[in-house]
Amino acid sequence: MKSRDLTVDVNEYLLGTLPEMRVAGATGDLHDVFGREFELALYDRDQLKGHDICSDFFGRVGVELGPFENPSDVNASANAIEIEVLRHFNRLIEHGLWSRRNSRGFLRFAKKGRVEGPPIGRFVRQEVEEAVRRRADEEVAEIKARFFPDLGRPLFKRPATTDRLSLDDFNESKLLRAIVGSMLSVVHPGKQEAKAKTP
Amino acid sequence: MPRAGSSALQDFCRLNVDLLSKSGVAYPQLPRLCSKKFAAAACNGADFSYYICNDPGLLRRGREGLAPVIETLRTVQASHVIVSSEFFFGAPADRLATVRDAFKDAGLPCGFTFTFVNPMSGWSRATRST
Repeated sequence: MKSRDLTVDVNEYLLGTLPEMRVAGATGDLHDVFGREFELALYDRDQLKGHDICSDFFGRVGVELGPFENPSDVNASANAIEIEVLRHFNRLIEHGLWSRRNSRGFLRFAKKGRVEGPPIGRFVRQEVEEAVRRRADEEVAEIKARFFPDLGRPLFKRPATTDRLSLDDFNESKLLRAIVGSMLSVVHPGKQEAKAKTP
Repeated sequence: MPRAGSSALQDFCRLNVDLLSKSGVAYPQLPRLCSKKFAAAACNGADFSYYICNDPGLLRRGREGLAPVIETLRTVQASHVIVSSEFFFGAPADRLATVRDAFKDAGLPCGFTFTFVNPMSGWSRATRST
């Protein structure tokens, strides 16, 4: 999901995407159009060439890259506090006070400011998760039947269920600290580093 | 929620243009076809794919509307040209077919490499190579 563009609660967002979910149909369309030039690969980090998506992708298209470094945290998912801050900021878009291009900048600031928080997946309500799983299972079954009929295992490992949290725990002061801390990391980077080193 | 890595690939391509060039791979900036503005992200196919998906111009002008992109790609000296955008996934089949045929006739055969994501993240991550 594109968390950077959220303007609503993650549960509301997920429920809103379900009617639009047509992964199997869209995959089938691509195959119908591109035929043999279309390659569908299951994402399994353990099976990736070099355990790296870049090496794996270029290997698939027949390109051998020279040695390179790809930091493991490149494009890391935003945590729940960052997403919640962005959700509120994004609501300012229609007033011309914020734009989507600012979100990447904010995440860079947040990283410098060491804004830490749990993953957003922990805020998905049980009934929402079950609804998403049911809908996704239908799509996955269709894809397996069409593209991987001989695979003797499920296409994906089911993500483990984690303890659930409530976004109600994120009161204004917590979000405000995240915002101020992020901005301070830009204006006074030294102070943030000193603060982080304090036991 | 796990993801498939398209943004990571796009960031990698944007930051490693020289490395890719040595291996015969180009990740070019394409001319704009849409009036809609996109954030300055690493995804080089946002405007092009949005045009394919949403702009009535593709239906009205057909292949002619794709000419600026095709002309740009024809000038690129590389064995592989990567145009990447999540919008390609879910694009109407008839429009994709128009693009495929236009590219093919221009001597730019294209394919689609698509890494499928975990069901909990659910949605599209696509990278196209020409």
